[in-house]
Amino acid sequence: MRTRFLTVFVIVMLLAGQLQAQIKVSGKVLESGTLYPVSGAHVSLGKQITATDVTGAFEFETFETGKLFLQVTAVGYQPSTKSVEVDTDSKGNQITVYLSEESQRLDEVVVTATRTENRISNIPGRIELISPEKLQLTSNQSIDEVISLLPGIQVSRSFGLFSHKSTVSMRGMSSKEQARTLVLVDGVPVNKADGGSVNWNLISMLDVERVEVVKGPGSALYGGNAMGGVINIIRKKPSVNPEASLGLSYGTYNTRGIKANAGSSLKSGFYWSAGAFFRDSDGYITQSWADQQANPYIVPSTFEEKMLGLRAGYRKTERFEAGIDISVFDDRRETGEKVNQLHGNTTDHDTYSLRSVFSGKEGLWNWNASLFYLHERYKRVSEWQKDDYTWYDVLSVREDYGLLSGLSREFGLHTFSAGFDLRNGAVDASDIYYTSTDQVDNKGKIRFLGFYIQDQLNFFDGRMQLVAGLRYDYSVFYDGAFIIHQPSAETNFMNQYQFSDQSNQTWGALSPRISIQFKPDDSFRLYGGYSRGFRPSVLDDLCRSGRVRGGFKVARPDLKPEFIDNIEIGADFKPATWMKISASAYYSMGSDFLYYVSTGDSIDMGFGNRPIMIRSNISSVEIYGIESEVTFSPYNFLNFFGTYAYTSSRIKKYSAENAVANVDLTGKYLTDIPGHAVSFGTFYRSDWVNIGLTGRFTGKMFINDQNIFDDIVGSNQYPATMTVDLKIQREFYRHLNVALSIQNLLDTKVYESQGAVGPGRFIVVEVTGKLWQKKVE
Amino acid sequence: MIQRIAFLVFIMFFVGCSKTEEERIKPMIVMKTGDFTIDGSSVPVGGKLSFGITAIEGSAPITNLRIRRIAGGKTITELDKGLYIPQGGLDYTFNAVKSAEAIETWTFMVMNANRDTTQFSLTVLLGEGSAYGPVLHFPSIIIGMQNHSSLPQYLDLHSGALYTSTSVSGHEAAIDMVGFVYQTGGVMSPTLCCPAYSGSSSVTGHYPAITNWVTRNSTLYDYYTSDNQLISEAQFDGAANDSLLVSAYKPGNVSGLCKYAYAGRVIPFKTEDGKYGMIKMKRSDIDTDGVMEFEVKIQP
Repeated sequence: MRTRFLTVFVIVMLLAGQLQAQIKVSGKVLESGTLYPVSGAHVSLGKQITATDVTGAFEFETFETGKLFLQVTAVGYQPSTKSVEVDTDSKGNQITVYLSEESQRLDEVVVTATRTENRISNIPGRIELISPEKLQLTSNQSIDEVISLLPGIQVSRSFGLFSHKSTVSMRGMSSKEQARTLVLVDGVPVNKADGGSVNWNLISMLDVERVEVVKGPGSALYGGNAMGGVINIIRKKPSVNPEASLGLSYGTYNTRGIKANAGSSLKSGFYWSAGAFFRDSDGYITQSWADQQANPYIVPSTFEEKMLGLRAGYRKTERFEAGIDISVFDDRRETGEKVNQLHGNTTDHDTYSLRSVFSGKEGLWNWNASLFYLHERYKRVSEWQKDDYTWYDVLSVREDYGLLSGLSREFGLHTFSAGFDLRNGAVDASDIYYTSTDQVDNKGKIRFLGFYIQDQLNFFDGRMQLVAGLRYDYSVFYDGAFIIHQPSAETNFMNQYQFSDQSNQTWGALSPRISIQFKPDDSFRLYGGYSRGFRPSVLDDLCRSGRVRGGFKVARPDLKPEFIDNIEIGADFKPATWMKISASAYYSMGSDFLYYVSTGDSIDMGFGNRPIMIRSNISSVEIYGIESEVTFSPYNFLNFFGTYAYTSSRIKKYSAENAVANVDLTGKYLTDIPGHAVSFGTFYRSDWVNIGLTGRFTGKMFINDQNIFDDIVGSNQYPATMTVDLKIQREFYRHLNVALSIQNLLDTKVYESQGAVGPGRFIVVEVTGKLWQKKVE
Repeated sequence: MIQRIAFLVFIMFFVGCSKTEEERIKPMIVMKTGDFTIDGSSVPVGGKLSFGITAIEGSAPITNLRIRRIAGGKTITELDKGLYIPQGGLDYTFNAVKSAEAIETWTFMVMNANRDTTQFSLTVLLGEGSAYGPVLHFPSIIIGMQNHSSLPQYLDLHSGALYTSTSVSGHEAAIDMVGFVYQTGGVMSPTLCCPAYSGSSSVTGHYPAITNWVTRNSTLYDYYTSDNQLISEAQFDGAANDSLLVSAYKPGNVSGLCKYAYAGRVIPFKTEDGKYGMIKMKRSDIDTDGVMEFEVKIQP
């Protein structure tokens, strides 16, 4: 695999040398009147898009000369479009743009909602954006935590940076399962077919330009996983001018980090960038006080992670663009119990990813294609001492690769799009016991082929928009096996669930979508629509039996996908140029929902009898909720936002197939979904200092599927929590940026998992030096 | 230049040194003789079997000892114990009782962290007569739960001797059991536990002093028999020799922690030194300052 990476990388490097020179266009965006620099402004030149830095500076490279259009948008300002005369002398291509107070706010161009470029206000649906400003001024240490500031988004990251797993969900989907929310990086899916999970730790905050979130089922465009919605993380484009930066950070629990970035473009049109980070921490004890008293083997949960990423590409006007990036990520997270092994219980990910994106324009046709390959070697060491010593390793190799493609063209009022996607996922894993003879192997592969069509209609002079789409996905699960070698009492209860040489399991899913919007003017819009989403069973449920939270689950290779039908209405209202109110209400009905149900048997896994569970397609789940957001900017340097979301997710009818246990979950609430959630914040920007203050209230959440009392938490629901975060940032001499981040300022006790203890107040000081950057006057 | 450096860093990141494969040595078993049961021994039904197992680790720490009895066409795993012995080898004594089968084959397997195994087998023949022995009977033992202020809480099952948190000093190596109450499965559970048991509901959570004991005995309770009430109180009362004590104990579902020790339940157990016994619960409070009263029968 390494050889393949190298070969592709070298080919791109060699090709780049053949290509022609680029012309630089740079400038600054300033606030009209005060002449404050506007950071985080969205600047586009032709098809190229970038964002301004904290000094308001931006840069482009282009092969075109002559008249081009430069468009600038920023939160709190009116968009600005100006014609720019580009000549071959880069010194002449320096532009200053002055922005006035806005009349159209939060109307950025997004690409996720329709797989074409579109302004948010023209899309009949709920689209949220994490702007560069929010990214810069929130104290969060990982990108998933930032997303939790959006209304109705639930993030489960029990131990902050020390979590080996994080989950982001929305629209009433359980926050313990990532598989119901599709996550993309630059349009390429990163949910693994094995468990649907996303390794959020390998997405560096430093690389992210903005995050687009499309609420509601998105399967009509993206196929599986897009039940609750789609999150697209857009990374920064490599800089036009040579630049390099080095950042050092130090924080609570002796958490140390270093990150470096460099990038440039060559005259040939070839661009490149490289980034790396390393972070480690002495950690803290994540178990409750009672557990610490009871278990003499508890130690702090620590982590060490490192990543190297390389990007290269070629850009020749908007007619053709190609890019490739390779990244390697390696982490080890010690999970807080050590008996005999060097690092105790640990998780370890070695992840290699390769992504290439191609796009172009030919006449009225726009096209794009992406190839991706994700290879993860996962290792988990588990050891504990109860009656005697138990030690086993989970070794899992997961692969996901595929091709995505799309084609679009405008025909008068219509924009037609179509495309096909091919995705493959595979897992080959073993649980290898060392304190008994058992070895448990599971493996399987799944393939998806999807075709979609979509029409966007913009009529009545832009006052009405209609989007209709349809997608068909065909899937096959094959080469599945679950085999136990030399079973002992640890695993012999699973003998009956072994399988191999199974015939292929196939299914199809049709995902329609239609939505319409009425927008009489820029101050108001009203939309409504219907969409259907689905998610396939993950390989982990199809072919692995093993421990899960609260019990033991057995594999089930005949699982079908689950579906959700969603209707939704929403409106945006701008009573003044500096204020915006948004609200959405949705009602969803899930069918064939995948849920763990008890087989009626139990197993002692070393800590008492626990139920044996199996995934089943249960009958009907009803989800509804509202989401609202208010944003206002009394001054251009000061923004406020507040959100509220209410969610109800219940099992409407329970008739689990093959369930032996006499349990009726009808009327029970789904777990890990807060009924009420509030987020709020304010951002203050000035030449002297930038400040971000944000907070989040998370309401009570049910702990288990029967909504019954939990011994460890002492209730049937996790208690509500409220956290407040603060970030203060200042730039010195244009080359030195100093930031103080305080997460959980009030040191609130946060419960997201049984008895687990969050990291509490977490303080990080970060100093970033721009070692080499061309000045933009 | 920077492009070249980045490329070199990339190459260095991917190209690592490969380890030379070292020769792997399997673990090795040597069975003790002398006072221990040896291959071809004849032992009457109910007679004591005592196996002395020594093993050296080979290339990796010893991690597993498994002992199986094959008799009458059945294979019973008598012990499947996780270990971690990086050096110095294993020295383990396993006691059992001869069944009524004419021939028993005993297999002893040791595995190390490389999952390399070695196995030794011996045969034990049925001797004449019966060696079922007497039982010690303690008709009423009362202990306090973890927060009881006056009653003793530490029990030596061999003698029925009770110790308080003060008087136990110097007798730690004799303690086989304590009792406590905690919430599990949504109910308060009167629970028996041995000093060696660790974990989220472990003995040290309720009796922190045990953490510092040099010797922490392991007593294994057959919770399956208890939970499913497979032995009646009448059967317990009628046990005049140790036959039922031996046969009631099933090694497949045992633990150092026995939850739901409610009045009326009979709990077979095996002590660290291989003595079989049974506990009949007579009273179980569900308050942390409550008491437990029970009756014990154990091999002398």
